[in-house]
Amino acid sequence: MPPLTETLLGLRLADLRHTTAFRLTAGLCAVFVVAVIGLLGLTYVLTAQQLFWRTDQFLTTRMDSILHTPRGREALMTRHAIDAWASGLEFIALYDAHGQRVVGNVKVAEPFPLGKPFERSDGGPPGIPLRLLAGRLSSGDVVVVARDISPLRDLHERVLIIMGLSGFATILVALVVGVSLSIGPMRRVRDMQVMASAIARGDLRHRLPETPRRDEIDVIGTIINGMVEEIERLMGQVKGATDAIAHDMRTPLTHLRARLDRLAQHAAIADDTELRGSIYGAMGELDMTLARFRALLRISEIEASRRHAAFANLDPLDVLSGVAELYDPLAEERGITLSVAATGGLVIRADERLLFEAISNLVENATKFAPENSTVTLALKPLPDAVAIEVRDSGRGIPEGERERVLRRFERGAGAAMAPGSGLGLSLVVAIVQLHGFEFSLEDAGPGLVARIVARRLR
Amino acid sequence: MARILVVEDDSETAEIIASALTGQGHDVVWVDDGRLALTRLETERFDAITLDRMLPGLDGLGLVARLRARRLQTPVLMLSALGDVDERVAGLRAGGDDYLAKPFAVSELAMRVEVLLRRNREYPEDGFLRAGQVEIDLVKRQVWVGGEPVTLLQTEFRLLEFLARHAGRPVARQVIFEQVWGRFFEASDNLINVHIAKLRKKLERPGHPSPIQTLKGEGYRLEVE
Repeated sequence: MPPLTETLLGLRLADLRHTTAFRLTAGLCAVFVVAVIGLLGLTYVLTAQQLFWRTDQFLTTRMDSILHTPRGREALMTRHAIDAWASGLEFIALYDAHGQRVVGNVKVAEPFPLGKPFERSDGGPPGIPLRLLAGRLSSGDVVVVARDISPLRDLHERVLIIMGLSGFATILVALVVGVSLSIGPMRRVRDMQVMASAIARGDLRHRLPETPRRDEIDVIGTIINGMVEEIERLMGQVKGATDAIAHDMRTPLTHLRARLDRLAQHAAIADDTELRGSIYGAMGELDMTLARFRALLRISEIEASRRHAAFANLDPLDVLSGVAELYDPLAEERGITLSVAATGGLVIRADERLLFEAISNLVENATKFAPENSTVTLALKPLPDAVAIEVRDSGRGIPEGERERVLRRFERGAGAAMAPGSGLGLSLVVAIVQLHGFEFSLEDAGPGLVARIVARRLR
Repeated sequence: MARILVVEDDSETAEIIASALTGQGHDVVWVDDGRLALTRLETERFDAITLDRMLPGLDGLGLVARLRARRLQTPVLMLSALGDVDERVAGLRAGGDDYLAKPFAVSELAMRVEVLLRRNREYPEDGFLRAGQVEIDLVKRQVWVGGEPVTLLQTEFRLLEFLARHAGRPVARQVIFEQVWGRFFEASDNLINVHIAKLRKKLERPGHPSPIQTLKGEGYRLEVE
């Protein structure tokens, strides 16, 4: 079972994030996050600017009042200010011309600018950030006034926290909303996928699910259902016409076959060997025509088949062994060794009878075209998610340019012109392989031909 | 002699079937309508039925399904002008015992009816099948020809058993393929020929004709004499 992080109610998260609902929600969320951060940021910047401006104004006013202090009274004035500014938010210090602090409740390490506000996080009470302004007195001493700006720092931190938390919360809410909004449509798309696969496999009785909501998925479903209905109707018409033709042709052909039978019996009674031979010849020709007719109808039926009820899990080795056993005497008669090179335990889902027929056709072809005293190999090769069923001969093979063509009805390779056959065998194999959703290919075996059916493998 | 009901709406085909079955010594009754056939089957005893798939009144599938629903187990040979993948499955699923696509050789039809008639025959009391010089022990799965034991592979044994159950009558290659291998596609004649040839070689004894005869245009026959 896949971990919960990969699936949610049977739907893959990777698929969910591709849904329109999820993308819209994510997009809206991104816009919202940007808007919230922008608004909070602007509020902070404007508020901070205002507060700094006020602080600087305050410091300038204080500095002005000190600069106007009569000469020689600076230390007294500073002392007085320390006592007067008892709020604990304001500080002052007096430095002599040599940079030695004369008096004060703040200590600022040099150098520092004069006449221009600056910030220091040390010098005042521990952990209190200060904004300071220094000015030179007419005596040459320097006075420094300062104000606690920790409320400003707090504001800065809080705004950052609020921005982070609100951004995180918005993203979280958007994810939850996006996923929950996506689950519904994804489930419907998955149901549609299942039905569409069944329809693609030839079962036209299925329809895509529709809801009374009439949303965009329903609109697409309705259009596709309409198309499938029309295809089913046309297929029904074609099948009906084919059946009618088959019926109409087969009855007179049955009569013809029976009359030839009777004629042959009369010829036997009359002991007319020559006439009997001719009649058997005619019957043989008729039988060959009928066999091709049946093969054609059979291919059409397999192509339009709904016979998935006969599908079951099976080990392809059993099928291969059965075919090998059936064809071994025929191969032996042609001086060919039929070998099975495969391991058991692989499982595929197939209609055993049809798969047997397809492999039989390939083996029949291989034994027909393999040279005397050669080997025809039936092999099973495990692939990562599939099984390759191969029939390999060492005959003259089929040139690459002809391989597509020989899969069509009545088409035969140039090298097969003299061999008996109708040119329908490989078409039948292709029809069976397609019914199963497997893949079929003809490849060069250097020398010879490899006919390969690649079937999905079950674990 | 068996009593056979021929259900066929085409009179000429019905006549051909009737004449072939009468020629085999059977008593044939012909009806051309599905409902009429059902009525006759409910009131009379038949040993086998040949049933057309497409009939007026009640079609072949419906008729065989109703027969089986009424627990009438008379063997049914379905005849159909329709192709044979889904149709064969549908026919057999509905309760048919065998299936023959039109157009067919009359001899093959007669042969298939014989196979159906014999299918339900009891197992031989002593467990042995005998045909001419050939003797088969069905229990121990052993074979003798002219008193000499012969070793057969599993498929060869099944093939000989099938021929022996229809000894003295011709059986077509396709019928052999379907009944012995249980496969319903059209196998090449050559494929069946080589299996028969292998079996024939094992059964042959010097100075004696082969117990398996090839009948041109018909198939093979295991001789009873």
